Amino acid sequence: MSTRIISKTTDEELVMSIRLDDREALGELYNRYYKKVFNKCFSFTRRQEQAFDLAQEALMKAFENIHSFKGESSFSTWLYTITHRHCLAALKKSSRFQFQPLEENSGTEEEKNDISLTEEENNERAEQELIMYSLINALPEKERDLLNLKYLQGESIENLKTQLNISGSAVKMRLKRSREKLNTLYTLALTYGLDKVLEQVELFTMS
Amino acid sequence: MNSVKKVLLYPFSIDCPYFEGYAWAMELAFRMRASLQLFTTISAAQNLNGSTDCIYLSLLEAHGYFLQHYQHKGIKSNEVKREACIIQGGELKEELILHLKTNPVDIVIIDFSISTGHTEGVKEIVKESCGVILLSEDQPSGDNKHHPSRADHFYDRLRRADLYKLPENFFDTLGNDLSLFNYLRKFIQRKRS
Repeated sequence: MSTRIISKTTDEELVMSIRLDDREALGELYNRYYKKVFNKCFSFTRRQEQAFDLAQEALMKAFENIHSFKGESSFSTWLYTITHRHCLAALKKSSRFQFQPLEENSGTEEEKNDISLTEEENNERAEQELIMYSLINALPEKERDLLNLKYLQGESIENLKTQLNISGSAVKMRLKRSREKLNTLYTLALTYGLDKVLEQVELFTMS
Repeated sequence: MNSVKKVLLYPFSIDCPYFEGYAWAMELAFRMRASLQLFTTISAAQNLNGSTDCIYLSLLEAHGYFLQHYQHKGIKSNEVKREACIIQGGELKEELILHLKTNPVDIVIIDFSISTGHTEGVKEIVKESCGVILLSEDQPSGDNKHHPSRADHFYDRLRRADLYKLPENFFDTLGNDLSLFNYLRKFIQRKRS
């Protein structure tokens, strides 16, 4: 495929060519997306180094498994889904965002059935979690750490009082303010999109 | 070769063409099962202008070049752990020498593009390193017709490179790779004919 023609080829046509071991097609498709993948990763991490690591891993994951692209969605959707999931998995894995696992045997069988999620609901939940983690990550360090300690690591007010060397009521007040700020950001993210909110997060997080 | 993972370092500057050298360093890291540090410098002013972003994007682009021109069957680039090492400071070679003093690595791979006309600089790097491979000038290999195979191209470049203080087991490690045997076989056949 000549360079002139290849630039007008659709992503999906390029994937078909890649499957036939067309290296030029691979280069073209990669070059179309690597910046977007990096920017997407950066919107989650807000750290260039981490975004670089995640972007290169996500790109590798996608391009080394391009044969598994079935064409059920556009290539860009497929690639961004891989990037999304990779970022989410990395955020969950990082110590800052350790999950508290749900207690086993909690709830009746009926309740368990009620909370069994369809794939669509799972994706939606993953999306919400991703927004929340990205926003927490974008908060000023003190607030971010406080929320993590209280809600992700389950620290008591008593422990926080000692750790932060402030009174119990001050801990509660800080938690309240941080929660309110996070709720506002979350609502804005749902309304205007996460990227836009993260771009201007400093305006919202100025104390 | 002992079981401790080897560390290779590839210094580069985004102001010089470096994709060919990067691709070769990637392939060497894969063959040695080593990790690869990608070293460069950035001035304080550039850092303020957000040039770090450019470096990361350039590295991602370099990897696209590797995938397009060098990744062949059997090489999984995701098995090579890559780490960008961006130092805020002055000149590349000076910072590299300082870096090597405190962060020793197994092999430094120096590209022709950053070594031209600075023999003294290379000598200093060799002095501070456990091993150095100084790559010679190379033409981009986008057209595979000029190369019998990508693996042969890798060994061709190794043959033309200047090697300094490489560990004794360096070639043993690469010798585990069948493509070396294939390269030597073809090389001997060419000599005979």
